[in-house]
Amino acid sequence: MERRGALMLKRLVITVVVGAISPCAVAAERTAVLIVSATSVVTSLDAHDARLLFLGHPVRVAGHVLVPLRNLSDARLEQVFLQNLVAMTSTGYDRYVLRLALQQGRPRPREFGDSGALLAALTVSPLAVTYTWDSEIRGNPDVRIVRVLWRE
Amino acid sequence: MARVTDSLWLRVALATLAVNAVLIPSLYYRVSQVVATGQSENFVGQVRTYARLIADELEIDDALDHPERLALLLDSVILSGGGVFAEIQDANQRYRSLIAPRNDTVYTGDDFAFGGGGDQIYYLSLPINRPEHDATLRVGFDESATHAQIAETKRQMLLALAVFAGLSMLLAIWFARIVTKPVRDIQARSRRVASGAYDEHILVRTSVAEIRDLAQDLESMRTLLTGVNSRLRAEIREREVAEASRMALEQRLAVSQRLETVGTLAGGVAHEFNNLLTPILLLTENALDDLTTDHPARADLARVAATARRARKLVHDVLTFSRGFGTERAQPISLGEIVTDACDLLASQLASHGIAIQREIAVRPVMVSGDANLLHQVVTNLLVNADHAMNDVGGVIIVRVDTTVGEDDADAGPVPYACVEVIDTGHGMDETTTNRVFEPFFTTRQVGHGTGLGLSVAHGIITSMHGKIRVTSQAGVGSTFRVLIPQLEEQSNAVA
Repeated sequence: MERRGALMLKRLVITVVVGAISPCAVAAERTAVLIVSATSVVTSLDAHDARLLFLGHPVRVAGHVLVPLRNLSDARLEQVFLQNLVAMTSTGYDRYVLRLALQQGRPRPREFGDSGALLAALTVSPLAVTYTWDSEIRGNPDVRIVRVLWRE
Repeated sequence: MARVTDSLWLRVALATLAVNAVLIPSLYYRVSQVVATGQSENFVGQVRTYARLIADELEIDDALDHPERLALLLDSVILSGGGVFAEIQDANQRYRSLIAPRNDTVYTGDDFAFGGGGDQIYYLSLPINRPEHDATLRVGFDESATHAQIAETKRQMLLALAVFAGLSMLLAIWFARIVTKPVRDIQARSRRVASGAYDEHILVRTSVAEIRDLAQDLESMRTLLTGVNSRLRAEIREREVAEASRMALEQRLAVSQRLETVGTLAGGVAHEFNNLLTPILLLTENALDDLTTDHPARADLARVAATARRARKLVHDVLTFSRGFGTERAQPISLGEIVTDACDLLASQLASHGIAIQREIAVRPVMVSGDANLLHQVVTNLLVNADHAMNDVGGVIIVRVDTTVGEDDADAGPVPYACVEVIDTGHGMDETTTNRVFEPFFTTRQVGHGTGLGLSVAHGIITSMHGKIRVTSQAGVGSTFRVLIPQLEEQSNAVA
């Protein structure tokens, strides 16, 4: 009986540990957010302007044209960006941005595959806007959240 | 079996089948991917855009502050957007459309790709960013229609590819038939030409230019070869005729040389024998003149004289064969009259043997230069010879007199001849006998029934008249003697 009880306890401990460190548990807390530099003039950005910004259209705040930065460091974040921010498929977005670049000469949003480089570029540019997981910037005084894009 | 497996149409069909077996599955797989991707991207793009529009509306509108308007907005998602699920999660409140076709649907998390979750519903959620609300819009759209559309497109594509495969096979076989049919036609015609049907044209009706050109080339070759073949056949025929003529001439030359040799020998012997007979006959006649009529030796001497005279006649005949007659005795004579006289003379004798004479004598005079008596003797000898040949069975002897342009020495060419033909239906002769028939003392008759000089004498007479005497015979059928004597020059000119 004692042996059986010890075995059940062992299973319970393993279950709790695995559940605590599993991706689901982590993912449940993930939130995709739109961020700017702490020194940015941007205090808020509605969904329409955010969409226009990342589609390549000029968006002005206090007379300044904002600069979009794309975060390609995480595949899931890229899916959130496409579904919740620009509301397009990957092909549709690329086609749209390319069409603007070719027809109107609009610059494509700069792309970053490394989140560190992205945050560095963001902090030095008060007009830059990007998106990331809130866990990436938790406790970072150099950035400011202006919008929640998605909650898991 | 090998002929079937080697046939072009089967190989083309198999090649087409192999190409289709590789091409069609890969084509189907690739196009299916393109179709599925296109349809799913279209679906995802539309639902994302639509959801974004609803979320934007909620952000700028005050629907969240009025539950009744929120319900209408969620209903419009179901009604206008084709959704199957629409709800707002705002703090602890949850608002949900009640007209959703599947109210038991449970939000299971966002789908970021078409077909995700395996529940045929594409879920997505968008936070509503308003200061006084921490809300989230959750909507779900039915994927089954798009799945069905993709499946239907695949089915139609599969059907189209199957039709394509079938048609391509049929086209391949049809094309192979178009090629092989004229080729087989050409082959059949070529074989007929090869088997001797040189007039068979190797032309085929086909729309394939290469095969048409091939047929024309073969036809040209056939025409060329046929011409060459005809020339070769003509040359071979000419050579055969020339060879036959040469052999006949050689045979005649051999016979002539043999007759000349025999004639020379016989003439020499006859001359010497005649010299021996002259004193025998002269002295015997003198002795008879000296003896009285009742002298007992007179009868014996008379018999010696008679025998000597017969011997002189024999010698005379031999000399006639070997030397002919003197041209100084030649005079114009009508060949028809000579033949008629000879026939008249022998008609009764022949009739007694059951033999009739059928005379076919030219109406116009056929004149030659020669000795009438000797020529008469020739015709008589020929008739007697025919009489002997037909003695046992009887029949009709055809005697024909006419003119002809016949053979002569190669240098002289064809010359006009007077011709006498004596045709019997007797027992005939074999080739050996025919070749020796003009030799002196050669006879097939029994001993005592002929001297074997008749035809020899006739040959000598005709030869001395610059003529020719020919015989053709077939054992059991009969013989034809043909005497050719040059016509008188005046007459031949007149005829010409």
